[in-house]
Amino acid sequence: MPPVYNNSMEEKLEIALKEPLYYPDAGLSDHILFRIVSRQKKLTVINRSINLGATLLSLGFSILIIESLTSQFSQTGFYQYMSLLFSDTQAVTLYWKEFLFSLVDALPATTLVLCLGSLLLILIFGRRTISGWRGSLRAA
Amino acid sequence: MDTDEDVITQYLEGDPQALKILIDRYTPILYNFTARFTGTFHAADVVQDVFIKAWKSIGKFNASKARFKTWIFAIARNTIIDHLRKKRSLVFSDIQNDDTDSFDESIADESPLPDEMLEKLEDKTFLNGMIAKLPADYQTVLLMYYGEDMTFAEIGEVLSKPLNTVKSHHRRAVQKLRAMMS
Repeated sequence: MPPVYNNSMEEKLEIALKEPLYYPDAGLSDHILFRIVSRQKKLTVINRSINLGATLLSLGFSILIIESLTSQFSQTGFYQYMSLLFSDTQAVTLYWKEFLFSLVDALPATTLVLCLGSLLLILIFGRRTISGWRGSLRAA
Repeated sequence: MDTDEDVITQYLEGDPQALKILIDRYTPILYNFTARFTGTFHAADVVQDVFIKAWKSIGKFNASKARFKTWIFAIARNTIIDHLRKKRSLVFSDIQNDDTDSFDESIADESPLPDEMLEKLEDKTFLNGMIAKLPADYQTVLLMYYGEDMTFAEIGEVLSKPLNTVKSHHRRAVQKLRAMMS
């Protein structure tokens, strides 16, 4: 609803203030847009680099962890317990509680958690990297 | 013409041209507002900062809570305050909070103006010069109310002040102008 004035002062104020007192340079809008677009590009490059770096780091970490995990599986006798599952099914069925306990006990839990974590990181950062490249291809 | 909120939706959906529309639409308005407080020398830089801040947080803009105009003017006001603080100049908050004004007080003064004063008022430059002498919050209320057709409630959102305080600022600003001219 437009304001209703009851004296001349307010009418004059509207007349004086409706029209801008200062006008920007003609190129200011374009300059602002240019600054924002430049920042956006810079941010995109930084984000992509971070995502790519994190993907590569988690990939390298995963390889190391998987190597360590396989050696730990053989050291703890996990493979032997597993082979028992196929070679002596009857004994396993008979002493299934003990077998299960030994199997869990032979699991290198910490390394396994680290391995799953690093695989999760690969998925997260890998997905971001791919979607970033897809976005740039679409824009191009 | 698309509303500001429509344009923002288009931008958030991936239309880069939408941002240009918003910048083109608001640069003159914000420049005029900013230059009154910072002077024309710094106004362009401050307006750029306003748009960069707005762009950074445009994802947080909620059209159901406030109009874009109110939102960007709030950003502009804060940016101007930051700029002036850096310059150790006038700050907006130098006006005491006067929420206790009664409704009667907020009714405009209806006393007639002397002819000489009315003549002076015809001169926009003279009136703008008088407005520039008012406290910053008073100026903001006048600029937004008369210049930008914003309601007192919207101005209250920009200034983070209650409705009655904004009305009181408006009334006092008009009274001060009268006093300055008489």
